[in-house]
Amino acid sequence: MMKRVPVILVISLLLAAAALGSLFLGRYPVGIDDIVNFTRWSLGGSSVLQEQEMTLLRNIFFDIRLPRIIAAVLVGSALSVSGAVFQSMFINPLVSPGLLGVLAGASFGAALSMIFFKSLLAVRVCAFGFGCAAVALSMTLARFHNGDRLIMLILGGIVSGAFFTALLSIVKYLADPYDQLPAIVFWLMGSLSSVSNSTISFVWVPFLLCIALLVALTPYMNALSMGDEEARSLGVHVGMIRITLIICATLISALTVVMAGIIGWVGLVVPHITRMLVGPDNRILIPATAMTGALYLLIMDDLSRLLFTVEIPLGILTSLCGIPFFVLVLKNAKKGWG
Amino acid sequence: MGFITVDQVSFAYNGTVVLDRVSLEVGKGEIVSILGPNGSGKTTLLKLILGLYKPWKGEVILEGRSVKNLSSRELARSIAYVPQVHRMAFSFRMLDVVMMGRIPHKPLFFRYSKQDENLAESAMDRMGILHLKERPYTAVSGGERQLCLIARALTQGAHTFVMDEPVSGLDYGNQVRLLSIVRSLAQEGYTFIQTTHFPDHVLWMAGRVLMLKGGEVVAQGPALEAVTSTSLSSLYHLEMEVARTTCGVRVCIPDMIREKVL
Repeated sequence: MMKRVPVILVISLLLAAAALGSLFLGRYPVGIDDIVNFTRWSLGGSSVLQEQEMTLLRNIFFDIRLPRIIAAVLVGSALSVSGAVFQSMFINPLVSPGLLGVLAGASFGAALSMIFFKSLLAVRVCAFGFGCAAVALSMTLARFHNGDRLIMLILGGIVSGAFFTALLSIVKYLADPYDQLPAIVFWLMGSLSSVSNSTISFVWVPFLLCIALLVALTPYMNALSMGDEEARSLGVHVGMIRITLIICATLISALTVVMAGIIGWVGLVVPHITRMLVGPDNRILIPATAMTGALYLLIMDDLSRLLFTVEIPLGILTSLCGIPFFVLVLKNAKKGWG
Repeated sequence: MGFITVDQVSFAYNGTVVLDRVSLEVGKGEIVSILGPNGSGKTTLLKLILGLYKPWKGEVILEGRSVKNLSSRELARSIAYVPQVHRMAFSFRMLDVVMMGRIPHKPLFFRYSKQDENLAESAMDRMGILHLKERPYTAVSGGERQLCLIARALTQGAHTFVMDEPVSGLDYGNQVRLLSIVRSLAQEGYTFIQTTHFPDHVLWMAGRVLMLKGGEVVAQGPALEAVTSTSLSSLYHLEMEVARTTCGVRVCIPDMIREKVL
């Protein structure tokens, strides 16, 4: 398809524009003349405005809005990429990043640490740890019996997900209903409001490494979606490739919970939209879906900040907008998956 | 020693013996057909030859080396799998499907080069489907999909093609066209091992035949000698006759139609 490259170009331009635009959107009004003055001031020039005002603008841009924009880009691309990877690996377009239990595990980890520790760092560490533990559990369960590896993995994921969801309910039940329970519930709704520069500095390296590795392995994803035996007969080391894909997808999904809590539907809907735009070839789909996911979550986060005077939790917004999108996408399903 | 040797191979699945001491010699450029009722172990034998399953006893030797010592990459370069025509979940382009045949020749991290694309296109050209290269695999006919999978096997650079019921699901015209393509590739030196449910096709291809029943070999040899009234009757538990037409062609005639004619 000749139209693939222009589509990617358009998406990346839109993403750049959205990222820049988001810098100037927010409760505190920033006008064009402010930006001009600020730029001149940053470059060492004189300014008609006060030093104090410039420092305030710098705070808004670089300490409040920029980390949030970066977080939206990372979370959006991570969820869409891991969704797309799972969809081709499990040869099923209805699969989402939570298939192997990572989101259930991470939710439990976050809730548990909110009861026992007070620090945000502990919440992030526990969310990440239990997210990975849940996937490790489902992979172990999948090894208990012989049989179709993919089906065993899916069953393992169902069991592991249900187990950690039950544990989460116990934690919620035991939590202090005036203080801890609302905090847990709010975290699970998903939001980027707790993200700071220091969070970003922890997570951006593993994020980019995993996404880069996934992009490098895209030719194998195409072969894997022909089925295990066919992929092996094509010379693909199926076991090794699949484990690498699962580990990378799990790490980035767990990191999204670390940064933003549970953001639903992005990992299911965005790969579908992207597949309609660029086709199912993973070599193009994976990088394209990373950008589409980033763009989508950036717009959703802007809406969550600006729509009302109080911020709407991002996870609620992505679910509300994702569902009608998905209904539209399902209309195409009859023709075979994009 | 043949090009491919299956030496006293047994295979069991969950404690049930599926294949029992099966031996087979395949020469270069031969077409070997495996005949047998459903559940006789035909597909299992193919997967053992492809190295997808490990034999319980015995071994498969491919061009002088035991299959169990070969990596999937090495195997893929000498033996290619042409599966039954399947539906795919995602609508990859035909060219992208054929290009997958280049994977065993690439390093761990790779992008397809222009040369890979040229190789894939020339294989599609040989199969007469180059004009379909931009079409989604899911949108072409069963015959065209089968040709696409053969083009992928050619792109793989393999000398031996293992085909699982290659004509199943194809209309009569496409069945004949596919078989004639197989025969001309065999004349060029490619080796074919196929399972089939059509004894007539075995006679047309005039290669060698292996008859399997309940995991055991009941007959094997040159098709024209081994496909006989007695062997087929016992294989399928069916009264039938292999007759010779006035122009010398052999055909299978089940008793059912004989009763109608006489």
